[in-house]
Amino acid sequence: MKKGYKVTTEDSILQSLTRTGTAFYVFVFTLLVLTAEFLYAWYTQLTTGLIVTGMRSIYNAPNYMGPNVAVGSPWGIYITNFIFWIGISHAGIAISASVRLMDLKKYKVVARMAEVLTLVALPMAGLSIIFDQGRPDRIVNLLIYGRFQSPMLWDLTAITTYFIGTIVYLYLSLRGDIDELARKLPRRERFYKRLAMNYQGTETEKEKHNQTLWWLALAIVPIMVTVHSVVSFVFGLMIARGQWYSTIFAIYFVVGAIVSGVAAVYSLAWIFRWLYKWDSLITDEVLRGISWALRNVLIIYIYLWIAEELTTRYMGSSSDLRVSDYLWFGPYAPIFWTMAIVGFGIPALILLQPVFGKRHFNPALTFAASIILNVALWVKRFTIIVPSLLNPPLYQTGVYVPTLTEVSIMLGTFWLATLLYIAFIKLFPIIDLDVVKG
Amino acid sequence: MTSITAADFGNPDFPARICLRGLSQLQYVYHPDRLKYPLQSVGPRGSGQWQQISWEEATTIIANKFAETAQKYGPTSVYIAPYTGSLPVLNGLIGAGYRFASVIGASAGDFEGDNEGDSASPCGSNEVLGNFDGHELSDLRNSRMIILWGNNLAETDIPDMRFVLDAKDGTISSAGETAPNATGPGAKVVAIDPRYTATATLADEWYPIRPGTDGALALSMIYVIINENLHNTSYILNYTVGPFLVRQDTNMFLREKDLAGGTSTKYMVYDANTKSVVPYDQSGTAPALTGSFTAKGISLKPAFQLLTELVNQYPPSTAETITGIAASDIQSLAEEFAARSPAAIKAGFGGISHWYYGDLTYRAMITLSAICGYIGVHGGGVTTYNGALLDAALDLGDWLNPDKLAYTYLPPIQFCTAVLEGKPFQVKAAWFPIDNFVNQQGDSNRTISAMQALDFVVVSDVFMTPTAQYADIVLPVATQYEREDLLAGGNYFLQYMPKIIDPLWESKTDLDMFGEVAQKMGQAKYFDKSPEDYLNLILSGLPSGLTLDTLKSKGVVPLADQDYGTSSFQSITHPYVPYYQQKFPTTSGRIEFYSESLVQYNMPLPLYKEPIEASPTNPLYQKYPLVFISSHTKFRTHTQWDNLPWLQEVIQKPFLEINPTDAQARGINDGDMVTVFNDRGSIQVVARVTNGIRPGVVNSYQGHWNNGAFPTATVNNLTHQKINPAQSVVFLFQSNTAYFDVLVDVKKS
Amino acid sequence: MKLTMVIDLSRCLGCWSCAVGCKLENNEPIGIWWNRILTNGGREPDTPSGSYPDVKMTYLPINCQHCDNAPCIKVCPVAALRKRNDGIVFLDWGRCIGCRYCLIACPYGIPAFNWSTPVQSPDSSQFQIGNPAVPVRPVGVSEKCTFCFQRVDVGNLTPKCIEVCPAGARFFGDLDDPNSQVSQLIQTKPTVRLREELGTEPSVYYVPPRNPTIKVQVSQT
Repeated sequence: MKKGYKVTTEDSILQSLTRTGTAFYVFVFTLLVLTAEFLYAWYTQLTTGLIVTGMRSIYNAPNYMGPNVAVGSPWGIYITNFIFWIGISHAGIAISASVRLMDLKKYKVVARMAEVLTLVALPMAGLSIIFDQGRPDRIVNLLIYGRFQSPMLWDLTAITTYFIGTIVYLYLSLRGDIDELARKLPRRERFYKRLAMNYQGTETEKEKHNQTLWWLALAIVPIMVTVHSVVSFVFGLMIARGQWYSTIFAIYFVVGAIVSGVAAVYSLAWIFRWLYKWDSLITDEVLRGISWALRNVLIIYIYLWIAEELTTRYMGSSSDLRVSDYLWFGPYAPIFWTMAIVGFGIPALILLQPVFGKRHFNPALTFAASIILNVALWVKRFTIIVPSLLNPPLYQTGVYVPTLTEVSIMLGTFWLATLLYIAFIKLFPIIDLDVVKG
Repeated sequence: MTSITAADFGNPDFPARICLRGLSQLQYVYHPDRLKYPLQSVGPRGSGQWQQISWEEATTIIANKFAETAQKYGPTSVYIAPYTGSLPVLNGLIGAGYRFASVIGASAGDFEGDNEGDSASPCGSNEVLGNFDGHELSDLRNSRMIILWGNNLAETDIPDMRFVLDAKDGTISSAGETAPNATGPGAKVVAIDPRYTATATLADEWYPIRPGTDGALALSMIYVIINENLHNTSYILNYTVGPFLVRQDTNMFLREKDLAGGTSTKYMVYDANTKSVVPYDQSGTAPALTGSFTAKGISLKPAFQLLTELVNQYPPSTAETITGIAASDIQSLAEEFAARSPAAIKAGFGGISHWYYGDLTYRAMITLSAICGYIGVHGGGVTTYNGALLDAALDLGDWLNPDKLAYTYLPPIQFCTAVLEGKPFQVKAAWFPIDNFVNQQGDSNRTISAMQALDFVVVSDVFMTPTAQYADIVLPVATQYEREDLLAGGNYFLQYMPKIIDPLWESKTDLDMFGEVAQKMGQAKYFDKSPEDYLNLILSGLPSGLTLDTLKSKGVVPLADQDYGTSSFQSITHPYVPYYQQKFPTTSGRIEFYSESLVQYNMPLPLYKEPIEASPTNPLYQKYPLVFISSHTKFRTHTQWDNLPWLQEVIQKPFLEINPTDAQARGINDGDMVTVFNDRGSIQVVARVTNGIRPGVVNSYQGHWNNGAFPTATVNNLTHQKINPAQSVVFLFQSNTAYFDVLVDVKKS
Repeated sequence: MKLTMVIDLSRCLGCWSCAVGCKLENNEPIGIWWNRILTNGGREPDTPSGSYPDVKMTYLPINCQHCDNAPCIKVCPVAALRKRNDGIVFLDWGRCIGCRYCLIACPYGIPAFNWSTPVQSPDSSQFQIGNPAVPVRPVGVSEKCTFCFQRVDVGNLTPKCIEVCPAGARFFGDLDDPNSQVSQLIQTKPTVRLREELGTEPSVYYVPPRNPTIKVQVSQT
């Protein structure tokens, strides 16, 4: 045991609820300022229209609605952000389901933080979509006139189901702890008592909870797979666009999402361990295990990526090759190759280190790898969406540059996500109290 | 006004005569930048400082100033310049401005005359055929071959391009007679143009000729045709001056009195039967077309012989060196032209007339058509502008010269000299209605000096044009949709133009404006009638008795139709074909490819001469090795519609078309800002590197207004005002602006 | 009824009259073109491909193809895009939520989007220009060619672009009627459709262009 103190009580877990230092206030204040800026940017967009972004129609009249090129990209960082957050959301069930279904008690310590991540990520994905709509005031049309021929409706259904399932799952697994908090934090007793909803804490009740949770975990796994598959179908079923119409898009996106999610969980686990000195709870073994899973899905992801690239470069259609050339040799080449080599290559190397022996596992370095990987994955999705739209068959290559307003709005999801997450850890324990019991 | 649609001409030959410019007119009428009130300049001329004044004040000032100037320098020191900004009868090119000029004794341009670049071809036509006229373009359907010579019909005369397409597809005319030899589909269409234009894409063959050398090509084609005996001998004998003997001592035609004494000025021919020189109208003769003869010690040659000697200097191999078109191509082009009877030549004002020696070129082209017997037949002819005679046909004498009062003719290109040098007389004040003179006259810097040197300038227009910037008084004009008028021009139809809406803001029609000033100058009686009265006056010249009411009810009437036509060119055939009866208003009554009036300039025949400036033989070429042409774009009509948003959306910015070879040599890439310059001025535009233009030639569309984004882009900063003295033999077309005869160089800005 | 359009590229001048007429009839705002003229040639509009003097250029007017198997209809989440019985693919501007999925799905890049509050010229707050039966669209919705449904619905089978084409290169009619002009043209001429291999079954047919024979010439100063 290197640092921290031997954890025997629940108090150490409850630090996040009880300890509130200056650093916290500064941090939250900064987030609130950023959020205000985000809200202002969004307000500008709502009153002026999507012209405040850098997105444009496939064909524009060149003199107006700049930039001064004829072709623009109708989708940009909002949609990229949407896919990113959906990807992050795959953390929750990936970990929780493994823990519960395969009885991997060792990883129960990170299960809840993963579930909360999902809980926070899904609304951020929804918000990103709302940012992108030309008429957010007509969003209710989706419910009135929604048509199941459209992949977007599949998205709406799957994501909503996933979200509801996650909330129920989280609540059920949290209930015991809530009840406990009612006793431990008398000042908030009424709040927790309300939330616990007559939880008795009997063995039968606990058993029932576990049963339900087990079945829920089982049911949510296919939902999780469906969610990112249908998100991929938004692109993968489009015959019109180069490099999109591909059979492996579903599994490609799902694996990518799992990489995203697991990396995010690692990042969170490492941050909490560092923040609250939970070395004895979130042990090196736990982190190594997560990084092991991360490494393996990353390998699968890279394998699928290579398969995609090879298919195009070998004998791709002209529209596919045009997009591929644009990425490999054209204006996006610096972004593409930096992403590949630095964004994926370096994390891959870091994650491969433990193969050569346990002592080669470096938690801090792996943390860096997990952050880099998620940034790279954000960029990866961007390179899937935008270059294809900028290279429409029949027209010339276009330009897309996101504006400051657009970036501010997109970043709003990160500030909000952080704020929501912080709100949770201030109200509930981020590690299941069962971990320190018995 | 809420929508626009094509007018119904009541004739299946003329469907959908509308284009993108016509469809954008709502933006013109309701443009936020329209002039609303009369303005008076309150700063130095060109400074852009104005104050609003009333019409009463404005017209009073103008009347006083004009009277004052006329008093000091004579009435012709006031110059009125209505121009092609608007073509209708009362308020346009042939309208109230000229009437006003006549009644106050001022000087003026002329509606039929010098059209700034459009005079060389009419001049040449007058010299050979006696006037300037053209086929109704639906007649192209009767052609088996169409040469689009220096003419980008697909952009500059969009509704008429359909007839070329019909000819290609083999659609025979659905009205009137057809040419006897017109059979089956597929007229061959040839485009001769240094640029690969939209027209060229629809042609069967494209010849990228060196600009300004079209005359050499025509002469070479004549050489091939004569050499291979493909010319129409009987036509030449009967309808041209071919057999007329020319005196080799004076270079004039031999007249009967030269040999026999007396007064008979009959032309003489050499009769092969009797081997003697006889009058041309003697019966039973077999006139010689070639050879040399003597009579009374005078050496004589038939005009055709002289023509042959001229073209012998231009075999295809020689023409290849001059024009850049392969000798074999010239050969086959000529052979096909002669074989595919009838073949038509549709010439452009731009490619042919915007040159110093454009008259020579046009004469050569007419000669080419004549020796094949294609003049005055369906499917043939050399046409630049159809509708040319229409204005004359309307017999506008009483309208433009009431009580026989007349303005003094001063071609616009001579305006600057008149102002700056007082030749041919001093001009001190001017009124520019519907004329963006500063933008469109050659050599803008000289034009601006002239504007600055004037005592008083009035401009009436719809917008604050670059010309209006130099005015002392600016008057807002009502557009053609805000007044009643008649339109004649561009085709052989007479169109009634109803008033659709009332004049917006305080704008007035030309007629009203000139009327108010005239009234203040004591000439009210010439402007005291209503527009309807004047229209009736104009129509009264038609023998058909067409009244305004009939015209109103029909909207459009074919003026070349016997029912409505005038005496001056009552059409005898449909579609309209000039010279159908083979009668030519020349001195000899025949096609004068040999013209006596030009003997004094040593060019009785259509010689080929290198362009006055844009030639590699010019020493200036060492400094400025690129020929600068300024063609017309489909997105404007000269300078009009430059500020219409829809059209701006597509044309974007002013650019210079340049071949990759020339661009590379100067380190210029597509999209770079470049400076085009010569000794007269410069422009700054965006480079458009294209393979669709000959190396050694650059092009920038004319008509752009200098504005914020592109403050120096008016092509006329580079052009000149050189006048060809030989054109003086035709009074109305005595001078021409050779817009394309220009050398420049280009560098990256 | 199967409304079909035929465009004869051997006659098209690339003059934009059809595009401007469409803009007028449907009161399209600045920046939006339902009908566009693409240059099949060099990099810039009105420039050819190839190397002087062996150059080639044709024009391609393109508008909504009103496909029978339209990808845009499939992907619209609110069924704002619907196929009418007469073949017109109609976009319901009142229902569109502005997701722009149709812009993504269309293989021809057709739908345009109102990124800001549309500005008409002349300003449509003064009066409605064009055909009053076509409503002015608001910000945040997509729009595209409607085969002039407002004319079809009153029995006029002549969309504005067909009406104004000065070269006589555009035709429109009912393919189900064997005597219609479009039926005749499709039978007698070698028509093609754009990106046919995608299986969208467009309702716009093109008669291929003819290309000029270029005379190679002696290069000289």
